[in-house]
Amino acid sequence: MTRNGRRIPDPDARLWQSLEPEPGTVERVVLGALAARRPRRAPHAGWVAAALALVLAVGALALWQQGPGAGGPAPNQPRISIANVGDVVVVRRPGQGARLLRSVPPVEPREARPGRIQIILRKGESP
Amino acid sequence: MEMEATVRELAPRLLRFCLGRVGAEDLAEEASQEALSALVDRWRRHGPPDSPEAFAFAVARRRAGRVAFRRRLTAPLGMLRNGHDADPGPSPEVRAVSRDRLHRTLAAIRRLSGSERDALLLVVAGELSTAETARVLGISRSAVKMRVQRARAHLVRMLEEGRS
Repeated sequence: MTRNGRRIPDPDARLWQSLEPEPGTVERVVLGALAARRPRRAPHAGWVAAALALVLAVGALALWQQGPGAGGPAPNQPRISIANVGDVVVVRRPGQGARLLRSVPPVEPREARPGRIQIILRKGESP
Repeated sequence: MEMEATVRELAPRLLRFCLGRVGAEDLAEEASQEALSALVDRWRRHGPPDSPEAFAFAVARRRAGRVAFRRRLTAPLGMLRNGHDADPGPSPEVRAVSRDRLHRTLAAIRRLSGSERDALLLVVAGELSTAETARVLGISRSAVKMRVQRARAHLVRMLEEGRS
């Protein structure tokens, strides 16, 4: 047996002939390959799941860091300010304006009293 | 170089290679079709590859390996379902045309080592040159020649044993 003008060794020829496909099969494969449009490869499901899990984890972390008091005053904003101006004690709360708490009559000589004391409580702190 | 002519020329070679590789005509058809579809897709998108032969056979080799693996994996399921050996064996059509020679050859091919079998099938069934085969397998030309010689000798011995 010869192929392309060259003599084929006997075992090769035997193998080649044994595996010879039927013409109908060849035609089917050719037409199928020429007609088929290969679908675009979708992103791997594993990667999509991993990306989704990462986004969810970042979101959960952000919520957790805001804490249960989310929506209240920011941590560094004073929650309450108590100050005295002379004999008058003034309490200020953000968004609620100033409030006169009480006025104390002088009991000591004026020189012994401090001119002004201010106490500011921030979120999470105690006096 | 025209795509359709290349596909037509490669189809029977791929079918022979895949049949030798997977041992079943329907699976060989599936693997060949996938390899040629990949070639057509590549050709349409980016033009012809440097070597359409090497491209198609490299894809066919991977696909055939996957198909053969799937077949081995699902064989026990087939045995449970059918209540007998899942090996498809000769279909009535195949028996009608006396494909005994094919089955003996396939049985002998299956007994070759993987590297010898691939080299022999690419050279003989796929009609690839030594250089193209070396490219597909990622080995040197001399290694291809050595594997093909060894495989040929083993095949002859096995076929002779089968005859006697």
